[in-house]
Amino acid sequence: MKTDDLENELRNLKLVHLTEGELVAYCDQKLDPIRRARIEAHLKQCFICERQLLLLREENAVLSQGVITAEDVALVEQLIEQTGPTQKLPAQPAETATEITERERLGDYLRQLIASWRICFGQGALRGERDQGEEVWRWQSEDGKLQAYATMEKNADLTIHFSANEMDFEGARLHFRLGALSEELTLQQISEIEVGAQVSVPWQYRQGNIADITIEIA
Amino acid sequence: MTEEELSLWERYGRGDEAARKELLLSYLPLVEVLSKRIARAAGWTNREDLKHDGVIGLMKAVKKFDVGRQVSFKTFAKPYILGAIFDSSDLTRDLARRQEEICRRVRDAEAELTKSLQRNPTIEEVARKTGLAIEQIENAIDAMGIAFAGPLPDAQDRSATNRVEAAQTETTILVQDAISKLNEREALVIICYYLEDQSAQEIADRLGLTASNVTKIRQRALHKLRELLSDKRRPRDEDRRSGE
Repeated sequence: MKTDDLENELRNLKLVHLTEGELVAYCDQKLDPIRRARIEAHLKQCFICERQLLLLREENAVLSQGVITAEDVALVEQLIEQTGPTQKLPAQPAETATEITERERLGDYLRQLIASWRICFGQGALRGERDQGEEVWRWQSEDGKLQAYATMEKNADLTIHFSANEMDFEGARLHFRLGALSEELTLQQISEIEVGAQVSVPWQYRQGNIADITIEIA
Repeated sequence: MTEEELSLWERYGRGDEAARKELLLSYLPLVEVLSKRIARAAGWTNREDLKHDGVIGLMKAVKKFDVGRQVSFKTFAKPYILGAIFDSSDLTRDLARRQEEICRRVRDAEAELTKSLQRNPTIEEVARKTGLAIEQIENAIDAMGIAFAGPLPDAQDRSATNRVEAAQTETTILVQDAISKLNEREALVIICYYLEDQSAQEIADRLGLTASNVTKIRQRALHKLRELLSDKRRPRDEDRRSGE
């Protein structure tokens, strides 16, 4: 990256809105000084994120005050009576926190993975002679939970391997698309502590822009 | 989560109905504040019905919450409460659609203005661009309770799973990641200079340095960032070099 481009990217960083996770972490004072400084720089000039922060603080304040009236108690009792007793259930599929968290985490990893791929192959880096089985790309998430690498096969097919030492990702289905190839992958158990999947991309499918990859959680 | 709250969840997990009631009551103020925001956006004075529906959403959230996961109950419960309120009647569904529409207009205008001004616009500028009143914009942001970095929830599906945060651009992710690898002083100089538009002298005063020191630190940090970012671009080349 040229100096001018890098400086432009740095200046653009202040324009990027904060995610809900960043706002919550900032509000709960769970950020390191560097991330806090970046968030504060954005908050100083963004009325939208500043408003969101205000709302989060308001919510925290009312929860910590915990003012409950007799009417509130009556309302809760009435609704409990109407719905009857409920046994707390283990995590349910579809709408549980488990799934939200895992989806978000996996989605976050995949965004970083795609970013790495696009930047690595943004200039057609796969052209030219390659040895059989040669690794042409490798990526690992910051926490080491998800890894991926790509190897060039003898027949010029490209195999992309995904593995995660996070069993919660088992069964996650991914829509994978690269060039003209579109496939659905499922992360399956490959050892006691690992799940994984791989996809083979024939060379014919890679005509055009190899950097054009998308991986979405199904 | 405090030990007291954890104990409540454990008791509830064992079927203790008193713990359930206590949990509901302790989070009832959240329903109160969310229903108040929605009522304000709609200009309604009677918000008891909204609160009633919000409590139903809260009950659903309590039932489905998995205490073992790294998400606070408040964050988990909000979509359930808002969803229950908005989906409770034709009137509230219509209200949700209108607020979503305002949020979309605000977001589009804000993106357009950011591009042309090369900075985040003020609320007044967005109001002028959209023809909305400032109060309307604030009310819509308040009522929808969403971070603008994420996609707006679909009008027909406000479930929790629909609130996955948006992808920031890959360059943004990589640049942020690279900044976090700098030492604290370098990172702060970069943030103050590029994100807060402070001069070298202003940064020097803030960090107790001289202006020329700040310039040197900034140049060193830029050099490091370039290195870090080029590492990400050419992982194989780096591997080969280190193997030689």
